[in-house]
Amino acid sequence: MSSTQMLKGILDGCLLALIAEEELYGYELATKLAAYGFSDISEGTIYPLLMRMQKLGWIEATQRLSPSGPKRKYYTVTPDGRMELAAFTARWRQLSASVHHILKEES
Amino acid sequence: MQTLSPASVRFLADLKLYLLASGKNEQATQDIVTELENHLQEAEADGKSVSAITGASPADYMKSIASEMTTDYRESFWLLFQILAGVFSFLLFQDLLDGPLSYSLYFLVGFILLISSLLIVLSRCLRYSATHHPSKRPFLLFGLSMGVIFLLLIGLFLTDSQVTSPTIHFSWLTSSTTGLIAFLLIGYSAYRAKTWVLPLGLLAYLVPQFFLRYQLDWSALSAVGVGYVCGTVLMTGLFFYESRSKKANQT
Repeated sequence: MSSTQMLKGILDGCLLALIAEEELYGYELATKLAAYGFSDISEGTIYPLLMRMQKLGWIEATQRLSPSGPKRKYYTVTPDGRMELAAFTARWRQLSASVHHILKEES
Repeated sequence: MQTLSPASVRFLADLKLYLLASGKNEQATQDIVTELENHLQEAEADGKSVSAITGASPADYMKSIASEMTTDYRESFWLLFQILAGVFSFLLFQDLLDGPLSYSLYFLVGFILLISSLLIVLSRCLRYSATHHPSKRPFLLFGLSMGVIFLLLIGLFLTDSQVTSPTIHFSWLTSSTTGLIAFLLIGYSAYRAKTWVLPLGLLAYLVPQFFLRYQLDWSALSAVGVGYVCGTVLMTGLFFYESRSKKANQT
């Protein structure tokens, strides 16, 4: 299984976590993901996810002029998004601990 | 702001075409295209190519974007209705020149089905051409489908008088009222779409015919020929004029 396939289910949570830290626009999000080590995924992958999270009411977008000129869509997390982030964090910790445990036992 | 590479410009144009041909809302389509355009501006400034954004397959990427957007059935229906009304209006006004209107159910249903099929084929071909480069297949398919539908339309016209089906006969008053409503509808559609190609083309098609037939006693066939040439020349000229104006406004 490629890391891209493994990432599919957790990218939503990672994006939520980044947006919860600070208001971000698309390119900033992609750059931050790459800086955290998610350089394998193509940058555009985030947009369908952002659209879905907006539909689910986890994030909101506002258009405004950026310091460098053009109008940009900035994303912020909604209260529902924060709840989802908390649930994701709990799920991830449990999953991560279980996987870690299995891998340790095998080695 | 730096200009985008031809590859990025092409990708954005293909994406827009694909989403619109898939029945997505025009404003929502413009929003995502603008957002990706801004992304590509910064990405290219950082030395990345369009494939860094779309991944290995731009077609799959377009599909993933489309799958997250809701299909705007209201806008699609309105567009379909406008095109049907636009095509039908030429027939309706042509018939009005000959006298009160009269249509059989066979003709009306057949006409709506054939034009709708043509639009569905067009939508499929546009989506295919947006995701497959370079390919002559969609245009070949569209040409073939259009040929078949055109033959069926001719068949519909020829068989209309031989097939028995309920027929709606309009009086002069209802015919004129229908014509007026149709013209107002075309004007409203043109105002909404910000293009005057159809109403002006329709006038160029009809006014010479009316003048030639009722002032100079020309035959109906010769008058239709002149109207056809006038309508085609004006519509083609207006189309290119409006396209050039739009491009000039964008730059």
